Amino acid sequence: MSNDPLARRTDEELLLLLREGYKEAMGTLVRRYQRELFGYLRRYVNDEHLAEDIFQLTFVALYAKINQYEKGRPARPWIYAIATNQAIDAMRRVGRRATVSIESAEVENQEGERRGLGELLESKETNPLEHADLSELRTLVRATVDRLPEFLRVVVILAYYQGLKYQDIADILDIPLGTVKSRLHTALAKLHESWSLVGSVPEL
Amino acid sequence: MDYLQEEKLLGYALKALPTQDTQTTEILLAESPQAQRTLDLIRSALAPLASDQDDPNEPLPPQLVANTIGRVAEWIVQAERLVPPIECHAPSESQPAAVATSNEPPVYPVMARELAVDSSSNSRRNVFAIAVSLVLVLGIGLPFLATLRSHARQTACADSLRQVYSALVQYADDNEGNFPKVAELQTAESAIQTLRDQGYLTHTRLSCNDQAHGLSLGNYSYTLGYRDELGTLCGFSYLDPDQDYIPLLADAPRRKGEETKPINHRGGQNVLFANGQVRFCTHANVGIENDHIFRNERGKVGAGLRREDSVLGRGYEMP
Repeated sequence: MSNDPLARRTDEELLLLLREGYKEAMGTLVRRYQRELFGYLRRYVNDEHLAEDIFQLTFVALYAKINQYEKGRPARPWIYAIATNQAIDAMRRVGRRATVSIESAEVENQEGERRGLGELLESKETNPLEHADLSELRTLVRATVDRLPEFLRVVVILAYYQGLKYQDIADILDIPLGTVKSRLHTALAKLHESWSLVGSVPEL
Repeated sequence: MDYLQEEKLLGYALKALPTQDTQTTEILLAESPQAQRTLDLIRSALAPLASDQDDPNEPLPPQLVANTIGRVAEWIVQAERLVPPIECHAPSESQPAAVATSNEPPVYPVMARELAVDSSSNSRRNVFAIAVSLVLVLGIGLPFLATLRSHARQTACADSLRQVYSALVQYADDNEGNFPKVAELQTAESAIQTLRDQGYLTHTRLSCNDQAHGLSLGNYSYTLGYRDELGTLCGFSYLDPDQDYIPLLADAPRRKGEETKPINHRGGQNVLFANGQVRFCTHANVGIENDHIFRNERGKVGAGLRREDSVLGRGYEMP
């Protein structure tokens, strides 16, 4: 469909072209990332209008920082990092989502020891939500993910919904790789716990 | 099953592992029924998330790409204007340099912007030039040009707010740093009238102004000040702290009960802050501590209940 001469260029090539002053590369990048990045931001901030604003600001920031882009650096996590920082700033501006301390989100048993995921998953009903219809399930799942502490929720969104690799997530959030893994582990345990609870209770 | 192996299995289920780890995990799965069972449990636990996947056919916001490029183009123009090119004219004996004796005041950024105001039509042309080159690549047409016009209107509006800021600062220079204050039982219009009557604001016309209600403040709104702990009505000064968040002048809101909607631009309003910056804000909670700038803390239009409670009022509104 596209008559864009830059359509075959990789993201990294487009960023380098933009860095060299080839402004047309911006159009290709915006169009290429519109669905993926807007979807991410909408899910992250839970507000379509705010997501649209952040999406625009992401590309303004990308242009403003383009001289910081280094050859060989993967483009996708770099762009996501800019978008995520813009989203965090925007949510701060509108006073949304207080940060929850890491301590409060640890999955611990009564003795205070961290529980294995396998143990936890096995101890609960395997598919407690199997009787919900699709739209109910969707609402329920969205609400459960939204209730996760911010630092866990973003990892779930990036890993599951955006399909990013552990290393990319570590780069985007500027945290160690091990932290990404442990946060995801904790997040899944908490999600499963919430769903199991919902499954055993007739109404939310 | 140890914790690290579980993390690896979770990464495997999510396809988030690097190639080498994926291979070692597959070996583990082939050798260990327990690992396979844990993986099944992990997949089962992840399964509900699939119900909330994005629909790939869901429409995106209209003109998302065009609006984004317009915003980038606008930023480029503004950035270029804030750092004007330095033109070097070697002074010759017959043509002495017209600038810079040591006694002359320095050129502050606000003044640089003021000097650039006359080029607002130029800046609109620049936005247009940048955007048109992008349009050619994007293959999008008239709706984008409408968006572009809207951005140009927004930029011109911001320029006119900066011109008013220049008048406000000149007034404040002559009044111990205080910006014009709306007095008790006076309307917001009176502050702008003061600027006009005293000659600080002469030819400037606020670009989105349609003289609504027959007022020169028209479709704009000006700070109604705040009351101190004794109930005295106070205005703002350019010596105040938190200048970045004290709004002085903005596009007016359309008030609908407790709600306010932008009147001049789609999706937001230009706000002039006490530090001279004009920001296009997509919502109204942009005052100090995310304060709503068109209502006070009781949800009323009137003076703020404390210094941090900024309220901008339309030409006919009073403190």
